Amino acid sequence: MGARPHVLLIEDDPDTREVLRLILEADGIDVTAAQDGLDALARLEEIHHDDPLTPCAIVLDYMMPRFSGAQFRARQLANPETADVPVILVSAVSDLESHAKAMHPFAMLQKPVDPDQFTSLVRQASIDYLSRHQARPPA
Amino acid sequence: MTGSFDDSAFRLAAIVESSDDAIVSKDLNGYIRTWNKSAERLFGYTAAEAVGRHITMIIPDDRRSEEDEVLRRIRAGLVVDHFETVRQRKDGSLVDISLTISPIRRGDEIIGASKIARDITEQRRLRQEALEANRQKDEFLATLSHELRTPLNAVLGYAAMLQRDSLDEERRRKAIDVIQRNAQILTELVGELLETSRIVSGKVRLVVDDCDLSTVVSEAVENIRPSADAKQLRLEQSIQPDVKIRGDAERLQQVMWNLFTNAIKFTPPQGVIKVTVSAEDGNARIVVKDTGVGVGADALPHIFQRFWQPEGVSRELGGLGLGLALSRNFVELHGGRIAARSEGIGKGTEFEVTLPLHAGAAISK
Repeated sequence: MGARPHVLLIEDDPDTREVLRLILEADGIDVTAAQDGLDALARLEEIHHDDPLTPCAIVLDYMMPRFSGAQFRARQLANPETADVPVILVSAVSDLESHAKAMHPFAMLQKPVDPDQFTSLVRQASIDYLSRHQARPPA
Repeated sequence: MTGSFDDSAFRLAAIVESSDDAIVSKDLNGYIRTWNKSAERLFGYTAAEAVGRHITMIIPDDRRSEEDEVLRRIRAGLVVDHFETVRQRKDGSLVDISLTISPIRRGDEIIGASKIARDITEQRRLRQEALEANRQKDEFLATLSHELRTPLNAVLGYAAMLQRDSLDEERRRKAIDVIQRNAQILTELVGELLETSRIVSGKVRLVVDDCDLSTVVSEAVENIRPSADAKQLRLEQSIQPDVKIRGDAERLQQVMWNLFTNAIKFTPPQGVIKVTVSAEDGNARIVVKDTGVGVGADALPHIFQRFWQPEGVSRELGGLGLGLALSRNFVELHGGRIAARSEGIGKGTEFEVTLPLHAGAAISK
């Protein structure tokens, strides 16, 4: 595992995906991006296969066409290999909490996100995951 | 109480007979003893047909157990108050009613029950309409929140990155483009909301002038072309020149923009959108036809309703469900008509706008 945390970012809106990626990268976090839940499942397997300590967190949009955030989360939880990677749910849905409680996310953020709060939560989730897997947390 | 027993009994009978509610009495075994005029109207049986028969004649089979419970309560001296249920008319049709049933006493003894039934079909329909309106309002607010927050996220995120000076030159330029584009999306959303609010409060005014409809449509086609190209859609036009009306060019541009964005949204890549403008029989006629997903027969009557969106589509494809409703309002303010046709799901949609060629007098200002 490298010195930087590596997260999976799943977001269907291209502008939002790009800006969230830039915000994370500017904070020293590596990003693999996916455009919907189905694309994300393939990416998740790939990067986890390459390095079992990645991704150390998943940033997940709730509402996406083709394969929603909830569908992705259900499939992720069903796979013991990646089930405990923490998920930060980011959504423009107004009553996110009532919709998303059952998905057991590490944290929920409503769009528009505050960049500092966002990166801080992604770091916390990464540290949480890496410490559970007995790796040295990122600086 | 004043007056003789006969006098008061006569008055009571007159009140019962003239009541708008169906009033029925029955004995403790459920046999009907009296049946007023409103009961005749509500259930379709005359008093002669009903008296002496068992009350179950108006109770649908799947609700027979209700009568046992009612009789149990009456025997115990209890009242059944505003119990909403369904009863069956003589012709077999069902009617929604509210029932109030009270014991009839002779001294201390309970000898039967009086039953007041009110037809609540209209009340139920209004309640259902109110619930549906409320559901649509909630759905609209959720959509509005989503549609506003998504572009805001891009605007604020990129603004924060610019403020921190953490982008190289190429990304700086891109950030400014994204901010501009998303701010434009927000401006259009707010514009749609304000237009809707003006229409609802009757404050829309047309700025009527000589208007070259052929030019309005040609300009709208050029404005929308980049979006069609981006989605690999072919935009075809057959525009008769010099089709002139009296109208508000800006509002008509808006109508065309709404019809085109709608066609682009619901037509998959490689599809075709065709617009024709012609003048015939005293009317200007604009047709926008696409090879898109089409509209089911059940949805077609609703597509011009405010806030209406096809099932499951709203949040995926964006939009507030206001564009077509606004378009209809603008066209009607011009004294024209707008109609939608579709052969069904997967078979494309055609919108036709007709506007009077000499609309000056017809336009409502």
